[in-house]
Amino acid sequence: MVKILVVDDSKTMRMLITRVLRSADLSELKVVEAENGKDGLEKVSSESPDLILSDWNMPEMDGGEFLVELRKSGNDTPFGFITTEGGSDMKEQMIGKGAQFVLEKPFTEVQVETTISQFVS
Amino acid sequence: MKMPDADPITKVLKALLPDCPDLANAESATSLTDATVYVAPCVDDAGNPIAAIAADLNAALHLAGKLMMLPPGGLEDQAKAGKLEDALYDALSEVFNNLAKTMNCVAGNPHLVSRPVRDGATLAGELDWLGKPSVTQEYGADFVVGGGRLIFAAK
Repeated sequence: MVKILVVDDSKTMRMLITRVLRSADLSELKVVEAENGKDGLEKVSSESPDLILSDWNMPEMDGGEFLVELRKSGNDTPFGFITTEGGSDMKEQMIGKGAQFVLEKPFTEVQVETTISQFVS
Repeated sequence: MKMPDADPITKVLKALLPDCPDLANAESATSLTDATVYVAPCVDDAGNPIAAIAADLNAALHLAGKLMMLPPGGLEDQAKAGKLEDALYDALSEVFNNLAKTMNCVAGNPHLVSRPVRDGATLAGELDWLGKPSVTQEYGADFVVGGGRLIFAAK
């Protein structure tokens, strides 16, 4: 089973990402949701996901802080941002913090499938 | 602050909602402090609300409703009721979150992040400039429930 953690403060966006993931050719997918980085850290601890997809701008703990805390704890789960922050400076910052990839919103199903297939099957 | 052209806005909306109509620049005619105008404040990196993205009811119903895959009949019912259902506020906020990047892409504009949508009448009590923005650009289109407007504004 493939377990993917989706972290976004927008319930709508979590639903859209989940919809795309369910349409992808993944065997026995389980999607776990969190609404900010703090919630995400708890879900990583309790669910041990195979891949994390996170927004950048979120209240309480944003995506950057979430990733830093995650890596600081020794967790090396593949991590990608799905965000509207498409500037090259921002992308460099995200990769610099340890993200494996950055997907820009609005995304297509093909973009999501192609990207995540490198990390889960 | 400069507002984006209609083309990049249409491009972002079509990526989210493939059957979204093309938008075109329109004369300013919409009050951002109306209860049936739905407004997302946009904050700069210091957290100051210096701009806003808004939609009138017809535009809001189309953008949020289509994102949630609501049937046209459901959208028409809401149009007749004259208000956006609470459940669609989050969807509209996500649409505006995507549209905020069109302002960020305009050279010289500050970096902005959109905040959750509220109705203009409620928000006007907190953002006094909403009644008299210094810059306003409206974009019009024929949406599924009729003609509607998107509005970008700055303090």
